[in-house]
Amino acid sequence: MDLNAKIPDGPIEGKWDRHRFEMKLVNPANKRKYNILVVGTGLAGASAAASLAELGYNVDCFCFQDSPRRAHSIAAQGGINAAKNYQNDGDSIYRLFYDTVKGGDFRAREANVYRLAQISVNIIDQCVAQGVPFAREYGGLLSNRSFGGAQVSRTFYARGQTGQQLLLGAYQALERQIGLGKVKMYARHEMLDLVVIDGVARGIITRNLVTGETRGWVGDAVVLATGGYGNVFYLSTNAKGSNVTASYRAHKRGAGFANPCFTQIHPTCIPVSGDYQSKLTLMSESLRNDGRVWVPKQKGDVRRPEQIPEDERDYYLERRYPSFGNLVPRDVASRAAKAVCDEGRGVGPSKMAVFLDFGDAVRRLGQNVVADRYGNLFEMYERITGEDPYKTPMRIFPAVHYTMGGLWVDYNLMSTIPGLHVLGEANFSDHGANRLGASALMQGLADGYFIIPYTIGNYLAQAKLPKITVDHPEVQRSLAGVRAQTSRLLGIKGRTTVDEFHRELGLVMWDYCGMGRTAEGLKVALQKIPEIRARFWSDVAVPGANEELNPWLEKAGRVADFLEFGELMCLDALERNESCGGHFREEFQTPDGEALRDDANYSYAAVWEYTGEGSAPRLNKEPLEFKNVKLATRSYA
Amino acid sequence: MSKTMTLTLQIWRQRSADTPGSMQTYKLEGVNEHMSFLEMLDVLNAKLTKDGQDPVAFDHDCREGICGSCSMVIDGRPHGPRKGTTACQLHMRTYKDGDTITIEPWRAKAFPVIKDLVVDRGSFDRIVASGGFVSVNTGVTVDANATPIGKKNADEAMDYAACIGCGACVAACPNASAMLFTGAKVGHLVKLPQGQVERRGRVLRMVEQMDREGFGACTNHRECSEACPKEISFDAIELLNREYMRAQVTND
Amino acid sequence: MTDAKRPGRLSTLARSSIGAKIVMATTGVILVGFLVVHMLGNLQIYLGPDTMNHYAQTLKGTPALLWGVRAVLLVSLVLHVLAAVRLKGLNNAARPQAYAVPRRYRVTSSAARFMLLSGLVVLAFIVYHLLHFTVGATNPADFNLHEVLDVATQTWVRNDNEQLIAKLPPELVRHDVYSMFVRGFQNPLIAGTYIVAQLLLAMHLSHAVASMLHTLGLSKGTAERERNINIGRAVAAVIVLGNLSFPIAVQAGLVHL
Ligand SMILES: Cc1cc2nc3c(=O)[nH]c(=O)nc-3n(C[C@H](O)[C@H](O)[C@H](O)COP(=O)(O)OP(=O)(O)OC[C@H]3O[C@@H](n4cnc5c(N)ncnc54)[C@H](O)[C@@H]3O)c2cc1C
Ligand code: HEM
Ligand code: SF4
Ligand code: FES
Repeated sequence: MDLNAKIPDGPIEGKWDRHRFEMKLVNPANKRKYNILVVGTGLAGASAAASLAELGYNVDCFCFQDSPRRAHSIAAQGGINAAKNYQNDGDSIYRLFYDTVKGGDFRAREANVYRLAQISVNIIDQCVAQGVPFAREYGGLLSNRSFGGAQVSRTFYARGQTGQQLLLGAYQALERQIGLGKVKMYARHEMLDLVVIDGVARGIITRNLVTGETRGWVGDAVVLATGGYGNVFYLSTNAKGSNVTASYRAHKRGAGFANPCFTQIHPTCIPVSGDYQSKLTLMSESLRNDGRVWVPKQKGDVRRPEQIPEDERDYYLERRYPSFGNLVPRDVASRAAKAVCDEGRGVGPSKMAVFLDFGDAVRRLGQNVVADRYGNLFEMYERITGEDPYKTPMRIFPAVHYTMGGLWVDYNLMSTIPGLHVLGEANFSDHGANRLGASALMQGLADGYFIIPYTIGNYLAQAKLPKITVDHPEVQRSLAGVRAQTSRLLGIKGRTTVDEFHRELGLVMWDYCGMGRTAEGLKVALQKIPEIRARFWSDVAVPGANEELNPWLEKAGRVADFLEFGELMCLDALERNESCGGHFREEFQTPDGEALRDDANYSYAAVWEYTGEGSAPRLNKEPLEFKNVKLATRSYA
Repeated sequence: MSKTMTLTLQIWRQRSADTPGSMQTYKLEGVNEHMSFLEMLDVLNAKLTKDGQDPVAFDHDCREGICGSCSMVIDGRPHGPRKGTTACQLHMRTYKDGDTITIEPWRAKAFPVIKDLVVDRGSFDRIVASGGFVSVNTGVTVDANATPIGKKNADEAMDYAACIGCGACVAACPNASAMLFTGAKVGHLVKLPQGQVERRGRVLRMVEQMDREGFGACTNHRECSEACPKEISFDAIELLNREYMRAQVTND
Repeated sequence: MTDAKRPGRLSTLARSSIGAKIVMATTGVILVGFLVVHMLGNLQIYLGPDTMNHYAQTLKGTPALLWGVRAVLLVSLVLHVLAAVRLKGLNNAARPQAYAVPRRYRVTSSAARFMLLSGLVVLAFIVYHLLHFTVGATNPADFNLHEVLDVATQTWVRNDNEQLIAKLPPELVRHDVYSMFVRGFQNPLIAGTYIVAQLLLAMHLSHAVASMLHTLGLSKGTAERERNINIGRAVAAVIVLGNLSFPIAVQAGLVHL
């Protein structure tokens, strides 16, 4: 597998500029001769589709929801980072770059991260020009808040609905191109295979989710922006439909999958309340700006939180990490919460929760200010739990939230299959082993608005692309494969529901490949997953038919992929004998329980290659070099 | 301990767009009060699947009130009884043991039923495509802080922009009018300096498209804003009227 | 779409749903305005026959104004009715399949939901009312009442001698509106009809006036909207209470021949 990242030469500050100059261009009049397939309409996909169409390319765009506006990006709450330094608090492109590399525990590619920090400022300009209603100060200028892992205020936000507003901006740009006829939008279409012809990505297979029609599409390049795979854990903060299918099927067609085990567990989610639970709800990280995290000092303290006096509370984040306090990065905060719960000091009915207390904030700022900042989040909490956080502390617990792993891409966002570009959460991205809050939105939009429009031109200008149609035998072969899988799923007529299998897989993943991992546990998981998979293929109950709207058939296909992919994740976690960021191998920790990296042996991106059904995936390595940020143990103390 | 309850559910079942549908009755036991409404439907669907029956199709994705997918009229009210709450955020503690709950899809010509509770809301996308945007291409070079925007206007723009495009306003309106949705988008953009240039054409085109899709016309019942899970104010419609009238007497 | 290809302003307005609303509202302003004036004018019945008949005479004495106003009212009413029917058609078509379970409304009123019904009753009433009091087709005996000017005393006196009246110069004859009014309402059936019609008008206006203010975009914010809703109800109440008082006063014998 060729893992040449194609990083431009020269000093890091000038790489992107220089690359933009050196890249080949497609003549404006020729752009309309190219057809690009964009799968996904989240921040990454919508911004890419709109920008490519603006440049003149013909775009076919796909999403599985009923409207491109409903992509999972809509749910992002807290904000988007940018190195604008509007607060004059010492921020700079370099600092954002540094924070991101360090936050990712030195497992990201420096050049990409630097470019991300550079582009971050353009994103805000672009979004404001589109009419994104970011929060503003009384003077009319943009407002910022702080997020974990940073000591500057660089997060732009739109109430607690930043993702929604950014996505609506991109969606509106996309709809504009749809109106102009430059983008053809296919909502309720799910990509079920990638078509690779002579080693080059040339098309996709989709199923029309309303009619069940499976058909092939061909184009000159394919862009996957299909989001993350956190739902492999069944319970996560992701939308119910988020899946690994598009990425995984591309992986099976030859795209390398990088660092699949790098998952982010978000520290502030509403705890699980019962086994009927279908998803977990995030409480934005921004809450940690004013909320204080604590548990009782005593084990088994069953008093109501209000009755526990100040000196019997353990504000463990403030105690352990005095300089970052409640704003330590997510992986650190999550592990600390798990640790206190494992000690038996957890709270609430399940004892698997900690308090996030706004008592001080209400006293200090007044209820109005607190309501102004977090009102909608408080309401959301109240709706779900029936408790009022102005009166009693919230109960929170970590939950699966984001996946740093994804399809491997080079500096041009192209995967190991020429012509297949991967954007947003779906690629293995710029976040290393841990993503800082408010950086996913930034990355998705950087990829879609400002990187792919250039790099795809460079690809198209040089690629030799013979004319093909959907009648090409390779398209027909993929089509037949997809149809066969559908019939197979519908033909099993077993007794166990898709969700039951998904839950079972999720539990295994959470227990053995979640917040704390051990070689021993991972080996157990590696035995259990194939066993669940075998049962799935003999006993799954998929009701209904193909030729109709059939959510259970859709879900069955996605779970089938999770059942293979989960194994890859465990394998990756087992192979990485170190702890870094969100990947915490309990065997590798410092005496005070912090992650212990092994830079000498694991300073690489692990890129897995599919070698066929039943055959072990092959590991390839892209070594990571740190020339600008000195490798150091992360410290937030 | 959390309470459980037994419910009678009456749900609209319709196989496809062109087959007639009807209300069907189901009995569901063991519903936990902490479940969300959609989790309750999950439980029903698991049971139906195991019994070899066709489960109930409904749209959903985020399950936290932001994607706008979930869309069902519960006991005669879009998204159910709680104000400012989507169906996915509704929790079963709102109900009590023995209750009968009716569930129907949105009903409007412009939202044809696809299956059971699932409707096609493509008409909303087409309204946006007709003008619900600022025509800027990617690559703006004006600094984001170059144009200050008063906090009041920015906040009002955000109030309108909070719409999740769920369609409850249409479902709630006795006339199946989409004016709250359309007005919210027009309002969002007109409150901002960036939205001024295309102000006139935008409202004309969006209203034209809205009409073409076959939505009804507002007669000021104000049911839409009451049903809106994001509590978009009825001001959106008055603003839309004003903008439309203004567009009749101004030039771009 | 380029502006050159766009249809003209009037035709967009005429075809659009909001256009129809604007027509409803502007004709509504005119009709409501007329109702207020009409009701205030009729209050003069309480000041006795002379004032009332003088008022009627003055109106007739300025035919240009009278016919001008009538024309505007007629056009408004026709447009109002046409727009109403069009809106109703649009709105019915917008939901071809009704809800299986009745919707549970939160704020709207029956008045708002049955506007066309109340409007049609009002229309029937207007036709009847015109035939009754303006054309005199329904009760000619009550209608053909006149007063003549006694030149000696400069007072107006009732005179039923039709041959005489036909010969007199117009300055010396005036329509005895007062008597027509009182005799009309002394008939319990007619009084009842008017009362019922006014109740439906009340229903129509209780939604209509506020609705018109909303359609014209005159309320910004919930507080103003609530205020306008109350204003609307107050205007409706004033008009209808005024109008209702006439048949009731006659029936109660407070106003008599
Ligand atoms: C609750 C929550 C809050 C968050 N808050 C923040 C925050 O405050 N700041 C921040 O920076 N990040 C945040 N994140 C992370 C961030 O929202 C996501 O990482 C980001 O939005 C992903 O964008 P995307 O465009 O890559 O993918 P998505 O938005 O997930 O879009 C995926 C798209 O692909 C389509 N798709 C997927 N599979 C298929 C298929 N097989 N066929 C066809 N189409 C397919 C979907 O329809 C969808 O359109 C949050 C995440 C969550 C869950
Ligand atoms: C004196 C007579 C009338 C007056 C003063 C009057 C007044 C009004 C007003 C002010 C409105 C509100 C317009 C708006 O919402 O913008 C209205 C609405 C309406 N009127 Fe009339 N109207 C009269 C007669 C009629 C008649 C004869 C009809 C018969 C068809 C009618 C049918 C309607 C209907 C259906 C509406 C509803 C439109 C809506 O709710 O917006 N009206 N009327
Ligand atoms: S205005 Fe409210 S009810 Fe209508 S689509 Fe938007 S969020 Fe839904
Ligand atoms: S499922 Fe997203 S709003 Fe209800």
